[in-house]
Amino acid sequence: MRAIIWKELRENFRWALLGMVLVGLAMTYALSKAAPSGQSLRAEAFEMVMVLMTSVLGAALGFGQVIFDSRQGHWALLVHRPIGRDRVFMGKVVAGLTLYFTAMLLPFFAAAIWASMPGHVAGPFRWGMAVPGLMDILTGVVYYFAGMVTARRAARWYASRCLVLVAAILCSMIVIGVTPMWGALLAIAVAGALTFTVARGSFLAAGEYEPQRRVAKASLGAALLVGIVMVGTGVIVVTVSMFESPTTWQYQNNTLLRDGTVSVVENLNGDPIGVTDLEGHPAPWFTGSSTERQKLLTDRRARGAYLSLHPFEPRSHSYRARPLVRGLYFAGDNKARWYYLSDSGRVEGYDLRTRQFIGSFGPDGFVKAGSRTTDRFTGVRPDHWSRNRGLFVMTSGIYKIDAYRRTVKTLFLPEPGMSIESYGAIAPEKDQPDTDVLVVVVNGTIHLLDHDGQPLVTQTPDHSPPAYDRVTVSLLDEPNRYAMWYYPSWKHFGAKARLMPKPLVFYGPDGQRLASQDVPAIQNKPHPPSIAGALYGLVIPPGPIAGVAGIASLTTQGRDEFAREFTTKRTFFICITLCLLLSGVVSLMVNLRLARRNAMARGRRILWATLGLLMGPSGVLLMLCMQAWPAKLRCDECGVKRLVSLFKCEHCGVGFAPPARDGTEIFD
Amino acid sequence: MPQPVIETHKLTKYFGDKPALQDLSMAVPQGSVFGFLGRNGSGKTTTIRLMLGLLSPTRGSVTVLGHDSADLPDDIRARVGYMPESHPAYGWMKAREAGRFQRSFYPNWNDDLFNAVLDHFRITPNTKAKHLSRGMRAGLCLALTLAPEPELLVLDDPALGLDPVARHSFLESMVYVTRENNCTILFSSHLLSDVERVADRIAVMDHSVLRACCSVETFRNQVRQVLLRFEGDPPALTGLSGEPGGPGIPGVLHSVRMGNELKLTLVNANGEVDEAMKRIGATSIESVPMGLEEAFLAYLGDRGERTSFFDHVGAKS
Amino acid sequence: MPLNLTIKTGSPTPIYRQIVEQISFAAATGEIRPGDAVPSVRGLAEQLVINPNTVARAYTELRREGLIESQPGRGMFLSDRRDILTKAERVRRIRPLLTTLAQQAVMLRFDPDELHKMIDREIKKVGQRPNRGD
Repeated sequence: MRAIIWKELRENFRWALLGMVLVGLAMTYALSKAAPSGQSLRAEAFEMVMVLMTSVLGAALGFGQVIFDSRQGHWALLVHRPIGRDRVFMGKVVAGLTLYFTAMLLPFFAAAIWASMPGHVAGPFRWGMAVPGLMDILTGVVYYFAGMVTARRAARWYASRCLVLVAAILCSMIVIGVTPMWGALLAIAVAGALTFTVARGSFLAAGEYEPQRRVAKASLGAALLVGIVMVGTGVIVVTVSMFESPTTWQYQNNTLLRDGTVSVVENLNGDPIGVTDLEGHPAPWFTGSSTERQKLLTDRRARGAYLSLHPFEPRSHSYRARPLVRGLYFAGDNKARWYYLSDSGRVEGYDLRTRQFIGSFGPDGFVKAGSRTTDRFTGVRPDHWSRNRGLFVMTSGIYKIDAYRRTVKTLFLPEPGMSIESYGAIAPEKDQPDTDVLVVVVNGTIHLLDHDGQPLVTQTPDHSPPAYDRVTVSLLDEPNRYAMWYYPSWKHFGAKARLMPKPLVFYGPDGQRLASQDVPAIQNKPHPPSIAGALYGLVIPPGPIAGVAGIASLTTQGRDEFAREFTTKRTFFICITLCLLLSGVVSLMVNLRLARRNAMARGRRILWATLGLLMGPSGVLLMLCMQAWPAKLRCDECGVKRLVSLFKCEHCGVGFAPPARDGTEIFD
Repeated sequence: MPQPVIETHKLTKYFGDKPALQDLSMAVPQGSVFGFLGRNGSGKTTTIRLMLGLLSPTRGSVTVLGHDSADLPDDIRARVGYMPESHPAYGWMKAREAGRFQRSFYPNWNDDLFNAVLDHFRITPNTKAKHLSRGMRAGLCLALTLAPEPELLVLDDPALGLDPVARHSFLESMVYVTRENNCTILFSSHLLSDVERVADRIAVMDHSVLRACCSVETFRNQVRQVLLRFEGDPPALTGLSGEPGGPGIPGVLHSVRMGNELKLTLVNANGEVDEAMKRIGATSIESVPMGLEEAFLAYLGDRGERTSFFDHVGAKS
Repeated sequence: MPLNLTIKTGSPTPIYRQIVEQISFAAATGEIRPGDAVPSVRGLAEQLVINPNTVARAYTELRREGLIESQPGRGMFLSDRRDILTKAERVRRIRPLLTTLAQQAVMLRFDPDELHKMIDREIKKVGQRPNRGD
């Protein structure tokens, strides 16, 4: 095997070298674009380079290593040796992956080291930022094996030959999209093992199907199925978007006006077209052109903040965001860029011109670069909390950072031992900048603060989790009041929550309860599904859909939801179920017929029939592109076409006649 | 007869709808030099690739040294030397490196033999394979194939594209290899003179079907040429391959008519054939001596009646 | 042993026959003498680049005709018993050549005496072929 490895390294190093140079150039370009604005390994361009280059280089190396040795004479030269074909394959893989990792890791680490050196990037660097890139590099291994399969598997180029590469794309999508790192690693491990088995199977069988082992066949089937479903989904989506006419989207919603009345707004495609009160009388003021009416409604709508009453729970962040480095934008400072770093708990600043670290903010103020400090923001920083420029909101407190003057002002701190559970901001009145109001929930109590952090009012909510878990806090005028509108919890009530009335409670400026009313839920008609859309059931795999539906029906909420959907979209559901059933049954029959006509063994017939039923048309396509289809000849005895791969006619059991002799044969 | 080294059993291979090999059953006896003949595309290379397990058969099976080719164990492969068609080599390897590379796989390695073959073909060990001439590259392939001292040598058209000197060297090497008493050689070729020199058995493929498998002597004896003279014009022959009815002669490959003479090329002639010839009114029957090459051409050439070219010209004018 | 054999491929005469004829001729002309060793099967095969079985076949033929004999452990030698072929057999073998000769002679209009003289001369020439080495 050592000799094979040596041969492969020697043969392919120049391709790897070429790849490395290209990767290096692409990385240099991406970094040079991203570095001035403070981005490095996590820059979009750089990530794109990683995803593209790892997949292309991986696939190209795997493809090249196998395709050149697949030519007749060279194949014989390679595999006719007294070491098993398996060891030849392993030798190729060891050499290929060594080259691949060298070609990817060297430029990648060079880029990382460059980015880690001060003065290169106007932003912070942490080695954890290299994790997503490393995941991309690992994903390239899947492409490498997929490339090998593409080169070796005997299939038509215009048909299923490249499908395993499509399956590798799915792995990339998971690695990019999944939240926890172990999820990405798991996806790579599963896809890697699968494609490895497929590549090995194809290599050992010289690209043929029948001589492969069962594991290799099953893996090939799985990989091809993924490819077929992905391509099929793409085709369906494109077709839908091409043929489906744009639909109108009409719905009603409740709006609280500044005077404390609740009105019902009729919307068409997002634009308000009518306003009535709860009894259905049209609002007389809602007149004029579309833009005028929209402006009227906006002016009359009460200012409010919508926030959750559940205490904030930090969710696990995507491993791609690790360590948490978030760019912050502070008004009035365009010479520096600021980032909050969760590991140091400080807001770091970088000069955009020199790209050097300026210094960092903690709760106690600004500390210049080079000075040491232990001061840090505690708690966590929910991303969706601080939309206000200049405000820096953590669960431990609300701060106002003036990046230009390098000052930090504490606006609000919860009592010791408490933390901010929820936060929202009511936007200022137009043309009155300092009229914004902050809404903070601490220990289940709602605090309203003015823009300077001075408490306006403190209110224990009338309704609270688990029954009611969201609230809109609105400011009303004439007379000055505020309103809290509670929403029933989906988690608590299930699908019923949609139909429940929403209690609206008014409070006076001092917090005394003035009045309350239950606003009945608006029952919008669900968007009617087109019956033609049900036809897509013909091409969707029925098995997975049934599986998803089955799992959903195991939960109470799923059952409720299904019952509701079913009662309202009954025809659609019946149609799509029939379509799914039809496609499954037809595919089953097609597969069964194909299997019968090709005299497949019982087990294989059952397998293909089941796959037809579960996967629908994808199952048929899978069978077509996976199986070997031996030629057929007319049987001398029974006249029916018979397979050339069987000694005995599958219809009448007669063997093949030996080639006709004409008396000129010479045998001794 | 000793145990056959290669034995095929109803071996059949289809590429798509096209049969490349049909129901081949033959045996290569141990110690023989087996010439594998046939025109291009007649299925020789396919057969050889099936024998070495490089292809899997559509149906049927083949055993090599007693093992099914579909799954040849390493120790059997070590005993089989194979030189693929058109002498492939890794172009970037120097001859010496190629030797070192090959050597690492085989339990046996005769370095003297390797160097001797290189010498014979005048290959300097430091030349890269891609810079070698066609003949030299063939020599390198041969050296790589012979040095592990295989007991079965399978050569796929080794003489293809070689000049007479290189070809002669090849034949010498093949004769040299038979020095080991149990060494068997199977080689495919188009060159009859080579086959005549070194082969003791031949198999002839035609359109994916085995048409002959016998010793060279048998082949030579069974294919004959006779000259028949007639009083007037020779009668038209029907049923050249000897179908019953009509004035047919069994086993005629083709016939050439020249005036009142008829030249027949026959296979498997026997007393019955002589009688048939008399029956159609030949006044004299004369045997025409025939070389192996002619016999082979007659055997694989177009069958049927061929009038002489000059007659043809005459008929038109 | 400078037994100078050449073989021709593509000829109607099989290779083993060519060897038999050439050795017979060499023996008849005294080029090799009784008791002389003939090359080993292997040696001759490698010298002529032909299959050893072909050489073996030729030697079997020669042995059958009594032209050579093998001495165990020492190899093959030209035997001294020459006339092992029956009169009838010798006549059978010369007859086709005589027929051809006669046909050609008639066609080229030689008279029999002239032809006899020519044959005598030719036989003398063959018989006086210089013997090797001495």
